[in-house]
Amino acid sequence: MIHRILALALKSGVATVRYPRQPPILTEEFRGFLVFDPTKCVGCGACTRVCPANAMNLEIRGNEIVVEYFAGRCILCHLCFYACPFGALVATTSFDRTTTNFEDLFDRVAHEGAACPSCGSIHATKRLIQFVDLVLKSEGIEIEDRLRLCPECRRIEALRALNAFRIGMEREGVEHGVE
Amino acid sequence: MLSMALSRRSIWVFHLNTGSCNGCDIEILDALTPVHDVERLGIKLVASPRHADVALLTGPVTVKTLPMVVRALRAMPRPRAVLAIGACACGGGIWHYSYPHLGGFENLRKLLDSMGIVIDVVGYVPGCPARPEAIIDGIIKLVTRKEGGSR
Amino acid sequence: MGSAARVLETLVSSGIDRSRIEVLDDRTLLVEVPRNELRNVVATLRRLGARPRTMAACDDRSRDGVYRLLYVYAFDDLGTTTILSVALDPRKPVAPTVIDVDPALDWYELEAWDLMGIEFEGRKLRRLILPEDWPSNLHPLRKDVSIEEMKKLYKPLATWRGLEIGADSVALIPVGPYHPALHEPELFVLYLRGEKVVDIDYLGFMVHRGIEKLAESMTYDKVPFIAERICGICGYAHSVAYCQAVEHALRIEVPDRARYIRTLLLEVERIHSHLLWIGVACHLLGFDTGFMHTWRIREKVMVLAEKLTGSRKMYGINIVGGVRMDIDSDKLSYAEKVIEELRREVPRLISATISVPQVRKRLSGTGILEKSDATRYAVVGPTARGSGVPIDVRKDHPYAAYGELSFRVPTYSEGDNMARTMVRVEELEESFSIVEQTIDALRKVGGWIANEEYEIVPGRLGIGSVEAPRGEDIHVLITDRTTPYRWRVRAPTYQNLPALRAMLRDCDLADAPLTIASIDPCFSCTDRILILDLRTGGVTIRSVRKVVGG
Repeated sequence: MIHRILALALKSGVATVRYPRQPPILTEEFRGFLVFDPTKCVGCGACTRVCPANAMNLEIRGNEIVVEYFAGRCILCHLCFYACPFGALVATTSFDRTTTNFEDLFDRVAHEGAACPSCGSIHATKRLIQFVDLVLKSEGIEIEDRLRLCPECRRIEALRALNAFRIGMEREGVEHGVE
Repeated sequence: MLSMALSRRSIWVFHLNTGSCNGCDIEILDALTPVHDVERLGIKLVASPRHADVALLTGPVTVKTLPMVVRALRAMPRPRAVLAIGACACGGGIWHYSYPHLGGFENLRKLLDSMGIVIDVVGYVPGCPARPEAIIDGIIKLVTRKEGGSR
Repeated sequence: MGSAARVLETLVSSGIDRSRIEVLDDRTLLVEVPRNELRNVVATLRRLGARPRTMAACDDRSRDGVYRLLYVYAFDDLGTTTILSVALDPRKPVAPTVIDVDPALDWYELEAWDLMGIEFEGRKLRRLILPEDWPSNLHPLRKDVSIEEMKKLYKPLATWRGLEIGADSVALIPVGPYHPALHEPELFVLYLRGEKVVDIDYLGFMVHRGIEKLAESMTYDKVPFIAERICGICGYAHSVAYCQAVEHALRIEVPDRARYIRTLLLEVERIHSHLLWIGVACHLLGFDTGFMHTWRIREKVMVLAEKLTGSRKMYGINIVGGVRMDIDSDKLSYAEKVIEELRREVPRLISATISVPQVRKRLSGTGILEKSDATRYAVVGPTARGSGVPIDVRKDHPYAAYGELSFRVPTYSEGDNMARTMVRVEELEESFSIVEQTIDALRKVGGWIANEEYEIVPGRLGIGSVEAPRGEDIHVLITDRTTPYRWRVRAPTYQNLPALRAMLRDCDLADAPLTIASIDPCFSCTDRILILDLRTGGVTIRSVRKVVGG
């Protein structure tokens, strides 16, 4: 029995990787932590919708919109990396977010919020609106005023317009108005 | 820094699973077995919290384990150090919205504070599961902090 | 004639009304059973040789105004699943108990009561999963209970709740919740007379994280990530089982390449899990040399998994309809190389561990589970195959690419710890061969890796089953528009744990940890004993050695 075990030990040799003195056994395929690039983020919130663990959060704080990556909750699925249209989340093979300070686990970007011209509530980031304008301009689409409204006001505005349209139709005596 | 932290005395760790899925637990075992062999750094797994310098806490702290977790942490000698390993222990992980747990070590710490159980140093090792290398890093950082901090 | 048609004929000839039976597909039957006939139908199915797979309680009040119990049975020799559906009164759901005709369903009834509030007539009910101080009329899985409400209503206790005392001159040994060797916080109570175990109680479910409720608030594509985190050792099997349940419900065709990738990863996971188990078993026997060498070899499998999927354990590449990452030829060659190494290393390891006389002696003849008990408790996986019950989902109900691969199902009839060990050792060999076959197939099979063109139809029922390393995982799923309506997970250990009562009867205390570990990787040495003195109510804690040794 002893000779078998000794033979096994001799054949297998030294298996230990002397991390941290030696580099770790890390393949390039490893899905590591994400690096958040604040210069590229526009605060669209696509990442927060796909994240299964809610490690990506979008929060309105005062007149700022904060995008937050909580590495402590991240399950390293990289769904946000595939979802981000701006490449603001970079996939790395880094595994070391170890810390003794809880706050170090958060990466935050505060975006300037755009206020709704009608009700004044913060509903999107200025950068996102600038980006949308840019896209619309390049497509040659005219930017209407109601695009600036928050979703709630836009809904009310749309209903109001619809209603005005219907009343107008009724006055003109059209029988089958828009419902 | 590494040699300073580790040469002074060996660190005994106690493993405390608070409802984890076993992913981080097998990575802790992995760190103890030949390929990573943390015993070369003097880190040893012990059977009782009374012998432990560091508690390796995994899992989101489920309500059923809570009384036992509190008991085990209370049994540790001061200065108490806890290493929260994995996404569950750091921030509740994918479960954080669910009902039968506290959602990670931060909430447990608040509860312990209210009971008068002081945790002196806390380390966080995020990852799902946390890699053995990250766990080694975590213990080293924690011990550096513990030795350097006021005692 | 399809296998479903044959089962249909058998059921009709044994007295079940033809009009109540619906054929869902050629492998699945749905039988509508009135409440008062349930016991007879269950007894009939058991008599015909059906094996209980799972039971799911559903709150269907918002769909058709009733509570519903779904009993899932399998005719393994025909590869057919039969689902019994019982509708219960929405105001006061009461079902007749079936545990006297089918003892394997004991826990399912307790769980249905605990989580869904369904009462069972003719048996004693107790809490199984939720803590003792949980509010008595708050049942988490009911649709009218929200997670926020539960968080408000229940504040966890941070102080120790004592054990309940049920025996007098018998010594109780708690195993767990925390103990020197690793793994989950679980509490076994062994009742001893002298050194012999007379009974065992399981007071576990400490890892209950509300997965099924949580999934009801998540979209279909996010759930595989939770499913994977049910277990950190055989998680991928759960995620495949979930995806298959959705695919079965929505009739989604999975591309060939995705099926092979899933098979490859399932087998990589099996290799890692079986090696892990052999290591832990050696550790429990006090043979740490074996433990260390096994884990040294296992590390190669972990690196392989990382190379193939990007993560050492939580592979995270499953989506409904296929997989989300392809495996290229470089990775396949790497996998081939690792399997070659393992083929060399594993026999060497086995000859240096399992064939050591002391290890053989400890394993042989301990923790015997007779074949009759194995069928009575409907155990699954290596536990069943070690007791001469040749069931294996991969063969009986083929999924992924297993129908196109050739492999053997190792079966031993002794039923002891040695038999269960040998089943796992031989399965390792089979897994190597399956991995090689899938690598060859993946080199030839091209095409898409996911089918993302599917329509979600609410109200469909699907079943997904996978042979995980420890036995059969089965998921029952009912669809809703954007999220699962009900998702019932049954892991193999749920089925195997109650059988411990039979395995540990009259076994020595020293063999108990290994026997407990033999159904599921891990359980360690007891480190202290609690002697309860009923006359004074005092509790003494002594070391085991003092009590047992002298």
